[in-house]
Amino acid sequence: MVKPLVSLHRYTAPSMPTEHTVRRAWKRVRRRLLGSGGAPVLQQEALERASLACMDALALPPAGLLHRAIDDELREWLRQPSPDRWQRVLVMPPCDQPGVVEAWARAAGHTVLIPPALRAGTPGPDVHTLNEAEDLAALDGSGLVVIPRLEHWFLRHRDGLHRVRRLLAQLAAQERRCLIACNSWAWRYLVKAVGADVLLPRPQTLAPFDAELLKDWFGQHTTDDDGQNVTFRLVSTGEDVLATDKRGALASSHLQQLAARSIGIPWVAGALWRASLRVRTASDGLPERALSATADDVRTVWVADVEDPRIPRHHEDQALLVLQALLLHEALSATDLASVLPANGEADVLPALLAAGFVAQDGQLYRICPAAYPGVRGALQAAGFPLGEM
Amino acid sequence: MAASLDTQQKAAKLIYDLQDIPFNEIGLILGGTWLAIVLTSRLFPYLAERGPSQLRLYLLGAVPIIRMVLMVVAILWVIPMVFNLTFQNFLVISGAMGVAIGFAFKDYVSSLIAGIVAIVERPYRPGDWVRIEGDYGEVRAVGMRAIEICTPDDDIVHIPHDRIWKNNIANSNDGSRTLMCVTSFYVHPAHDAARVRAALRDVALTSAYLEYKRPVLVMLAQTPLGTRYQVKAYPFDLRDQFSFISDITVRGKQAIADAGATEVLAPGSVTA
Repeated sequence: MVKPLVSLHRYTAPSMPTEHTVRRAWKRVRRRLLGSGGAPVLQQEALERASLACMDALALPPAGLLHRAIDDELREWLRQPSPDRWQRVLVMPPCDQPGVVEAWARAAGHTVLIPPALRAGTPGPDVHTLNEAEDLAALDGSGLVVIPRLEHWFLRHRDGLHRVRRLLAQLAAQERRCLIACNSWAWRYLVKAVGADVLLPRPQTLAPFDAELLKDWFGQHTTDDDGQNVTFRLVSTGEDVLATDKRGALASSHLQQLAARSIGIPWVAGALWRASLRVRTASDGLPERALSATADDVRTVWVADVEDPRIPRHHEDQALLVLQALLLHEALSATDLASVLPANGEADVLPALLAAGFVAQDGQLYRICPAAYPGVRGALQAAGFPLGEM
Repeated sequence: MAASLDTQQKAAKLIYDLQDIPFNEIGLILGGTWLAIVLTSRLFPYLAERGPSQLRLYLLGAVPIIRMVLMVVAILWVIPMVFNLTFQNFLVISGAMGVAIGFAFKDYVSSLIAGIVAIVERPYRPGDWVRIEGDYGEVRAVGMRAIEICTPDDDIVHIPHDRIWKNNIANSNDGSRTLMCVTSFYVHPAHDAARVRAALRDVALTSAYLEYKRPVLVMLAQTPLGTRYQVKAYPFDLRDQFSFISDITVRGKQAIADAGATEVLAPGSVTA
């Protein structure tokens, strides 16, 4: 069940079923020409977002699985008295808001190295020297030290790269085991900006979550708050999403589509899955097709389409610059965000991105919503932006 | 005997009799070709501006090629419907066209032929940024006789294709999605050059418009005006070139000041 870590350059996101790709293209053309699609089993208007507290856990990474994958990979390395390399790099998918590696490190009792918050508009490169000296002193000693978010050690500002350069230089000279985790977008940037791949070669990443893994994960959350068994059915066809055929293969291609759409990132798939769950609002009888589909269900939760949010019109360029900056840094305050964007006098698009569902606010910090990541990545890719490693 | 005479008369006839020329068919062919060309020249740029940026230059570049193919097909289709194409007639038509072109339409035909050569050799394509005789801009359209470029000041300049016979064509991106942007700074010679150079490199590396796959270079040279720094880097999309240069200029000036250097104010302000 638990897949090992894989080399970063061998990461291959699950592919979209060909049939679905063709269907989606046809649906788009048909909607543009005729303004409607095929008739679903239930109208989406008759459904509301399922308020099932037990399902909210799906918006979080499956920590147990991921921690076991990290344990399995590092166990041998941690046992060696003199390993062939002292540093291991784990490139994490974006939108890892809870911090899988940090949680793993704290649970295992390893030393965790976190930088003090970067300040925007720093007047010179030596402002952080005192704090850095204190921080980097933690690298001395024995045992595993974990840097859970390398993306927090730099700011894409003309004075924002000194700290990460010094950290990497010190790590390269250190004979102490160190696990460095870095968001895939930040890693791609740091490879360019500071040659991170030269100092920290052979990065690894989590194996992509495919349809089978999603089925196993979602299959653990099939009871509602009252303990009743839940059947997840597609609004469009009435199919049971988690049902398998005699050979144990998934009968529906929905999870394959979800795995492909989420680029194999478990918490993105989880957030999209959670956002797609609907329950009926109307108390009147079910339509005939829905009635026959749900005849044997104890409780039915409907799985609806989740559309990607739309970039604010007429402010596309600025919105994309903001989204890219947030992906690079994982989270930024409004002040730091302004310091990493071009001073072009454009209007602040953050409120529009918040309203559209691209960005979530957590205190002073803004970050990309996991459910919006496929849409954000697609928009950045279409505009030609350099993408993250996954 | 009579049949042979009839054949000779037919062979000598250059153009078919009016009643034998299928005008409806010719009209349909020409109209259809015109419609296809108009649709292509509207639809492809429309898709190019709205589709993925990776496809933009391919879509724009396909327009003149498709137009040329459509026109060649239409001409080859229509000519046998109007002209009685024998070897003798071919020589007559060629001679007449040669005289007409030589005296009246030399420059026009030269541009048309250069346009065909330009489609094959591709010194410029729609979407490229070119400099021809001091005019710099984006190639908006490659027509039959001339290209249309849009300058950074939003002027539209039409340049006949026959310039490719005599003039140098500087193409900044040559079909790729990015181009090198050069941002220059002139600094008073009394400064820590290594520090300024490193600071300017970081300025380019931290630009939001930076293309990661291309190199970032900072070159410096002593000039009579002062020390000239040139930051050479690539934006991820060539349409961002001016935003990219502006961004590097704004932050580069701050970096130079923070590094304790002073930009040169005007020629002659640096003492030799």
